[in-house]
Amino acid sequence: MTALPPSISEYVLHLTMEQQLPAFFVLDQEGRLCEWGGRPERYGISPLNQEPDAELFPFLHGIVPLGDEPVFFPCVETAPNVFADIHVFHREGKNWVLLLDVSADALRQQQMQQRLNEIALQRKPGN
Amino acid sequence: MTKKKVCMLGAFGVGKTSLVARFVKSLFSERYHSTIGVKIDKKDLVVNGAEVSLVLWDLPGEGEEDEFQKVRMSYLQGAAGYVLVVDGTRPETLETARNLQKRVEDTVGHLPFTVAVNKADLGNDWQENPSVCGRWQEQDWIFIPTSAKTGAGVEDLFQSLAERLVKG
Ligand SMILES: Nc1nc2c(ncn2[C@@H]2O[C@H](COP(=O)(O)OP(=O)(O)O)[C@@H](O)[C@H]2O)c(=O)[nH]1
Ligand SMILES: [Mg+2]
Repeated sequence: MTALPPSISEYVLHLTMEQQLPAFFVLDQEGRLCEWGGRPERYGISPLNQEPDAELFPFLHGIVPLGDEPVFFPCVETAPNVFADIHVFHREGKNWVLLLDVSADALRQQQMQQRLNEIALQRKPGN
Repeated sequence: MTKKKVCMLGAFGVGKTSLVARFVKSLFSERYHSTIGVKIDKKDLVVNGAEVSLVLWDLPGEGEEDEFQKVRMSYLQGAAGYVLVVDGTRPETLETARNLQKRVEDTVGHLPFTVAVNKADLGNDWQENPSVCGRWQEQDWIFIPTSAKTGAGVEDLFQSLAERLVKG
């Protein structure tokens, strides 16, 4: 692969910002939140008005303390009908959690899958 | 409080989503709504006098011949155990469960699991059918008959898995 000229990489970045509504979080090793930005509210995550006991990142349970290996959880429903690709990785001495919106694709796939599965279930004898 | 991540695995339509809904919200719906991606729910249990919180990952169902519908093993990272769900009225879903169990073992390693033989309210023909019965008994798996519809066996299912997770 050759490098992309700035007009392309800027365009791609713009597309991502518009369509995938990135939200990011920086965590310490124990999974405590240090820093965040982007569009956390899109994913139903509000670091500021958090209930005292509410868990901000239920999807991180089991992988904290974070290791060096990146973790990828595709298509997690973080709020009703909001689906995110979740990337957890270590870079520049920090643990990053990046959420990218994939709701539109997920809902399309949901409809298609639903029809396929309904047909498959009807074909079974006894169903 | 101890927290344990638990994944729901099985063929599509066996009742993974329904079992979680019954267990967490005491709800049941006849309507089939195919699961895309993952939904995470939580429920607290008491095991040997100590509180344990199960973080339940409802995964999409595995299609039978469909590569596109293969469950992604990356979801199992961090899981303490899993529930394999089969549909008691569709013996072929046991085959899917068996394949999934093997894939988990191969990619994530050994984790405790229990097997829910769901839709028990519809009768459990498989117990009377000798060919199927043989297939179910050849493993040393723990089978728990459940019905997400009536709630029968559902508490047992999660309780027995939680006990094994706490024992380690
Ligand atoms: N009679 C009966 N139907 C069930 C039971 N559990 C699930 N179902 C039905 O089976 C269909 C598939 O259930 P679902 O939970 O979506 O399956 P999943 O694909 O494994 O998540 C739905 O129409 C449910 O209403 C059960 O215990 N008894
Ligand atoms: Mg489901």
